[in-house]
Amino acid sequence: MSQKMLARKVLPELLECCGWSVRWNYRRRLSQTATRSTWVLKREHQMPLSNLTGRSHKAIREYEKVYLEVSGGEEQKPPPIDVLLLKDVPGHGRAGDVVSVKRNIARMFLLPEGKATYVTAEGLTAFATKKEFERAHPELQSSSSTAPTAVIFLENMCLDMPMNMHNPWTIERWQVRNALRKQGVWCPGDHVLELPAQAISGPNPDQHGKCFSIFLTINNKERACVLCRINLQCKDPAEALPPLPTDEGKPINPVPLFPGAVFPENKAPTRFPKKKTLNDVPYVPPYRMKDF
Amino acid sequence: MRVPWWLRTNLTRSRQIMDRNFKPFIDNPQGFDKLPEHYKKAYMEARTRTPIPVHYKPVEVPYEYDPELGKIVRIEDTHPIEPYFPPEAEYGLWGGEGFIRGYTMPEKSKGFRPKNCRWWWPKLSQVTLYSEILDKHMLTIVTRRTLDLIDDAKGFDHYILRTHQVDLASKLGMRLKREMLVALAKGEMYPGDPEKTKSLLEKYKEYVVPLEIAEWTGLTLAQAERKYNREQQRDPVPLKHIFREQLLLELHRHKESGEALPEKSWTARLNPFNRSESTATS
Repeated sequence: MSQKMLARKVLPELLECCGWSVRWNYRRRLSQTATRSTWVLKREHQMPLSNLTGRSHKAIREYEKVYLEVSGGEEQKPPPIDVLLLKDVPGHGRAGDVVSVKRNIARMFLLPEGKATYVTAEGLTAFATKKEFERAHPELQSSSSTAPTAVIFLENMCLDMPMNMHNPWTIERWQVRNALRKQGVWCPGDHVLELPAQAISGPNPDQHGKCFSIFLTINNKERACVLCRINLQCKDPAEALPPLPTDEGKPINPVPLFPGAVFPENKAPTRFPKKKTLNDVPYVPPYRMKDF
Repeated sequence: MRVPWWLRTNLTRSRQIMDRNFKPFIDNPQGFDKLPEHYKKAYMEARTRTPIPVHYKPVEVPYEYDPELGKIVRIEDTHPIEPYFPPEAEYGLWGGEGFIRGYTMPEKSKGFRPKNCRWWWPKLSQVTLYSEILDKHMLTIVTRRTLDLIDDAKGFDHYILRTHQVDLASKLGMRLKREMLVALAKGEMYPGDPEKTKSLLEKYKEYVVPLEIAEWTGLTLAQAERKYNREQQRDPVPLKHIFREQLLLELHRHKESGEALPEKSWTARLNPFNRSESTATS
């Protein structure tokens, strides 16, 4: 038996006995993003020309198939593409904007999800009146494309305020800023925070797990109501109070520190916004060969 | 297959794949002539049309300066580089790309240079495409050239509808085109949403063709033969049904006009072998 036959027939059978699958499937080589450009070739030698009176081409011979590569094969970065946004897309722009984005982002996310279309005259005229209205009434618009989502994010989270169990303290703005920084929210200064009028001071074991609301201003325009929860801590584990619940995705029942401490916006916040799972993505059955 | 000899000789290798694995009209050699005229015209055009150059740069000016000879010489695309389409290409959208088999020459050697055989193949990728007319998401195998062409056409439906059969080079593409054209001709996209249907008909009005032509677009010869046979096939009607209808019509006509039914001729009465009451009694 030849070496070729061994590699083709005997080896796969042996390996499949061991639990390996070696069936050659061209789909296994497929990638999700198209990167390489088309091959463009050129003949090394000039073929005999036709006489101008009529067809005189001969059949091509094997030695005339020597090619030189003109272009293709190298991984090229595709140029950006202009798209018309149909919805507010954080990081890209607002509805009606014509923005230049990376080609793969447009192909894989914006266009299939219905957030954008190709730039056409009809699409631009559909948004012309909306753009005029926005220019006439800037006060009705949000300060940026990401500000509304930031408000939702802030109002859905529960801010943990770690406070000392033994030393006396009064809650100040810089403490709230530090707590926010722990959650990944950066405040430009103390002026954006608005604490309750009643001063909160401690420590008191009854305050453990009690909540109060503060206001946070974004871009001097939007106001977000953030729920804060006092978490009394000490170094000695024997003295430590029971840990507070941190269930992800489940609503927390806020207990107010004093009557009126929690605003109605924070009645049922979630600890963290729920993340998408694989089960949420709809399954698209592929075309099969026998369908034709 | 009834195709003129000069058409058959003109075929390149890539065009031959259209009728590769079957022999249509083998029992019925005159079958091709019976197909509709618009189908025959489109089929002939698909066989003779030169595809858009993909794997080579076409010669724009037929003259070129040759530095070795020091003069202007004539150049020509006598044998354009045409790819080979494997059967998998018919079930994807490769945008005219295919496999090329050829040779490369090693540069650094003296005297005899043995040429190396080489295949150039396209980089394939699997993406989900959305058709607005059919309202369908499709997991298809494409190349980057296809995606670029879709972007140039400003939409997947525009790309499929405006690209010629020769440049699509795909059975899947032609099937999609046929389904889209039928949907446009019938005007039955998005049932229960007439506004959306109207806007789509306005958007794709340049591609709308009559339903009869739409149903025949992009069929291979075997598919066309099957479709023709299915249309010709009818169940035989028994003669008694036909005669009964004729008699009922006649009776109805006489009843309306008030005429009397034609009586039996006098020769029938004189028939001695006829059994009637008068003869039986006598």
